[in-house]
Amino acid sequence: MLPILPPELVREIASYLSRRDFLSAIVVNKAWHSTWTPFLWANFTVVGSSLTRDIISKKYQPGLVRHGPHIRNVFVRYEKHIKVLQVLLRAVPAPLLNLSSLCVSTKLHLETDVERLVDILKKSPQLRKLDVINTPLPGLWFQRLLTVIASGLARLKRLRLTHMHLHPRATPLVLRTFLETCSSELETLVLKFGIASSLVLYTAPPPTTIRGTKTHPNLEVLQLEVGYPSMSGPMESVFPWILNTFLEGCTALEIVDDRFFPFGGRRQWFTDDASILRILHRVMRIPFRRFITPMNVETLSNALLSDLDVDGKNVQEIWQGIHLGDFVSGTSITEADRKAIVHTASHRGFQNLLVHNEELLSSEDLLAILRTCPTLRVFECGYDRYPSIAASELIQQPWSCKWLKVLHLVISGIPRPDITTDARGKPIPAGTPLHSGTMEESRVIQRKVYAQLGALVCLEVLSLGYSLLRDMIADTDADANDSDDGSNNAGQAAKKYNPFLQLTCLELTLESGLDMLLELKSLECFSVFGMDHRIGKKELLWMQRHWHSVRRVYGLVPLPYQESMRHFGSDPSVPLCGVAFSIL
Amino acid sequence: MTVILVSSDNQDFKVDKEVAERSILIKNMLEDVGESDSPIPLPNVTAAVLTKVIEYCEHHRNDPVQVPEETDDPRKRSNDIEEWDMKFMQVDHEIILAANYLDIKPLLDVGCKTVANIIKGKTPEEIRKAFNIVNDFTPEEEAQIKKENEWAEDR
Repeated sequence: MLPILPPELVREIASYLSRRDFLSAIVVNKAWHSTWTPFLWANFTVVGSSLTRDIISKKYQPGLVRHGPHIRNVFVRYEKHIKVLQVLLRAVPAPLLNLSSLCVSTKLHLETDVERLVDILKKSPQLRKLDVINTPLPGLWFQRLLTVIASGLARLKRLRLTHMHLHPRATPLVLRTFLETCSSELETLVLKFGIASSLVLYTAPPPTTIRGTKTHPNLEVLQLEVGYPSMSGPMESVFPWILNTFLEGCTALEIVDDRFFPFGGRRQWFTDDASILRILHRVMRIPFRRFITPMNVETLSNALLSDLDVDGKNVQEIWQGIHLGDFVSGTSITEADRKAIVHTASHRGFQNLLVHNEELLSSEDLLAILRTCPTLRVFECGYDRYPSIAASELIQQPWSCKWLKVLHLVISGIPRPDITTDARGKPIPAGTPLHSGTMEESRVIQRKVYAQLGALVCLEVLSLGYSLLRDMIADTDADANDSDDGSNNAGQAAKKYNPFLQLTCLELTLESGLDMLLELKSLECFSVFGMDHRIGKKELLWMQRHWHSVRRVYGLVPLPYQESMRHFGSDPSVPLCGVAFSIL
Repeated sequence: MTVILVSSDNQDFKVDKEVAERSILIKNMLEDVGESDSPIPLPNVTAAVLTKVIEYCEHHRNDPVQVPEETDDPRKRSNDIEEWDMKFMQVDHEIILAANYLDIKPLLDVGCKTVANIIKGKTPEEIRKAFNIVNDFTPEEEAQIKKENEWAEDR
């Protein structure tokens, strides 16, 4: 029946379907094959570990030739798959190849591999999104890449180049030329690289104008994270020369990210520079102030309140962040302080909130901040436990912090009738909140939580479980239990377990709605420490395919305790399946 | 106030204006002709289908008019169909086509979601069964297709 539906309806139906559905649909019959093949090929994602030799072999050529023109989005996860780009170009000549996004998320060790990337960029002038991430480049190729992007990709809306740590030998002139001449349609620009020793050698060269300078009237997010800013001297002085003209042309900026050092106390390179701050003030209309890092409670209140009008009007300067990391444990802040923090955080321009532990802010405060702070980028919790928000509270209202980049948060209060034993493996008696609902009710709540988290498309770090493995305590009546399961020898030392295992937490399975986090394409680090989640091989394969930036998933199995502790997650083969990015 | 709708096989349907105006096509037509008793011909919709469509519009007559929402979400969810709608929507692509022609967005949405739900998670053979489709591929052709698209499989 379907082929007789008009194309716009087919498109509508396709928007509800996934890759697996298309894989089935294309072999139903000839008509279905021609209807659904374009949708399958639109997202050309090469992640499978056993495919390499196949996909660059002759056997794929006819398919590539025929279906290549449907390809819109390409994602390559592993270095050994980079050859696919070359094969693709050979099979689908440039005029037919019409890519709108390209993501390469791997190391590129060989110049030939970078050459393949550059080749496809040169032939894809229509590209709207480019992500070259987790990619240390050899030699001078970083410079080459910047030049190709600036000169060839005039339609680019989003560009992310990250973790080019090794030798990004770009001179200040190359960097400045790149910034001033890259696509004027840019909305998001993320550059993360170690500038290291190379740039320190340069001082600002003389040219005052760059040929072909453009403005960037749509750029909302500028994330420049340059490594080693603690170096002093010529490097600091060169930044205004690199950035000032470019920043003047960014009239829609909402977010400007510096390299961020949680609890590190190192200097931020641009928020320290008076001339850059002046320009940001002008283009963003935000009178930035630097971080506030009070040493004790009194200075916090004074500093925050000194800038606040009673009515909340006429705020003189906006704090960029509050850093509550240095409180001596035992001190607590007053209700008035908390109000001042929440109020300060509600201003446009407030980006970073760091707390030492969950006692410094109540969950109401945190919720208020997540709901009202429009420009929050980082909510990070120090060495201790994370603050906890009940799922039922969290789903009440949408959050306004759509640019959130780092989130440390325990989400609790989700009924989990599937959990029958505690951290020690002992039965949990009936009547606890854990068993207060059916599995269906649990999934309804979980879906709402996923929907909330799934909207945070800028997330790079999401920690939903905290590490408290050091707090292992002995299970004193382990011996009594051992005789039952028979897996341990009598007389063995008492088992240790983590009493803080989160039970009323998300399952994090595809069945429970994990796939609603589909758009977290920037997520690099996902931590589920100490959670009784159910992440298995299926979920890891899904993450590998859809979370383009993900490099580490923490907390799958607490390895050191694997022997003495029951596994988190349902699938003990997780660490062996070859896609777990990091076990601990 | 009622309006008269005429199906392609010349059957008249007397319907409350409020109900008929769930169809944006009819709403616009009524606005264009102003106050008038003349019946509205719907040459693309048969009586059988129109009966179903009117049944749908009657049931949803008090729903708020849907505002088109801009969403960037490339993958939408199809598991939020109301129970009544679910029962109503026995897959009938003619209803989807009629909803498209009459411009009844909520009905069209439910229709597309329903079709998607039938396809979702099924093997090719199950899909063929569900839509009563005969496989016209030779085993060789089918194997070739599988090979071409291997890259998309989870391995």
